[in-house]
Amino acid sequence: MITAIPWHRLGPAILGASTFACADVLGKVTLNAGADVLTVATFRSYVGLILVYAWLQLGSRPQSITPPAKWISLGLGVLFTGNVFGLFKAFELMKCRSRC
Amino acid sequence: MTPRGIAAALAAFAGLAMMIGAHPAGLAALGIMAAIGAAICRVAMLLITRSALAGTDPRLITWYSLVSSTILFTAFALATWNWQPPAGALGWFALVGLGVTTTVGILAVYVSTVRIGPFRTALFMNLEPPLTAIGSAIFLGEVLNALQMQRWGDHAGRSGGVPDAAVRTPTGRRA
Repeated sequence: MITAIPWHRLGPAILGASTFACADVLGKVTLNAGADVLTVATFRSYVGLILVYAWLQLGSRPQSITPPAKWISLGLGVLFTGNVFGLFKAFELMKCRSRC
Repeated sequence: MTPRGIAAALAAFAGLAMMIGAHPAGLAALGIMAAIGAAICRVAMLLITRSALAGTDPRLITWYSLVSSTILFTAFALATWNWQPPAGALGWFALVGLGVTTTVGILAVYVSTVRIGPFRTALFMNLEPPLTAIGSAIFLGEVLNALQMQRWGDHAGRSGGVPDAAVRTPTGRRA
C-alpha cells in the first residue's frame, strides 16, 4: 500500500523544509536587490494564488470543502500573515540591534 | 510525542542556536517577542490543520489561506502606500522564485501535517536552517566558520534522525 511507503509520509515534510530553505535564500536576494519586506510578501502571495488556482483548474477536481473548513482555512491565512510579519519584524529589530 | 522525539527537538534547537552564533546579549527584546509571536502562529497553523482539517484537500486549504493572507498584505500595502519592488532582472527572478517556492512549501507543510502530524512535521522543518546555510554559502557567499560547520552537521544529523521516529506507528512499531 502506497501510504505505508516512508517517502509517501516523509516526502512532503522534506519538500517543505527544502522549498522554504530556497525561499529564504531567494528572499535575501530580493531584499539585497532593493525590495522591502511588505512588497515581497504581497507579491509572493499573488504568485501563490495564481499557481494554486492554475493547479486547481488543471489538476484533479478537489473534493468540496465544508463551510467550517473554509472559514478555518481563511483563519490559517491570518495566522500565516502573522507568522511572516513577526519573522521579518524580528529580522529587522535584531539586525538594528546588532548595528546600533 | 516520545521522549526521543522531544530530545531530538531540543538538541536540534540547541544546535541551531550554536550554529548561528546566537547570544542573549546581542538580541533585542522586541525582536525576541516578534520571533516568538511568529513561532506561535506557525505552531497554531500546524495544530489547527491537524485537528480541524484532517480530511480536507490540502490544495483547498492552501487556496483559502492564501486568499486571506493576500487580502491582508494588500490592505497593509495600501494603508501604508508602500510599494518597493526589486531592481534588476535578478531581483525580479528571485521574487517570482520566492513566490513559487513558498507556495510549494506551504502546500507541502499542510500535506505533511495531515500525514505524519504537526510535531513530526515541525521536527523535519529543522532541516530548513542547515539547507538555508548551504544555499547561502553557495549563492550568497556567506561562509560558515569551523565551529558553525560542526554544529550544522550535528543539527542536520539530529533532524535526519527524525525519519525513524516519523515512520513508527503509534504503538512504536516501525511502519
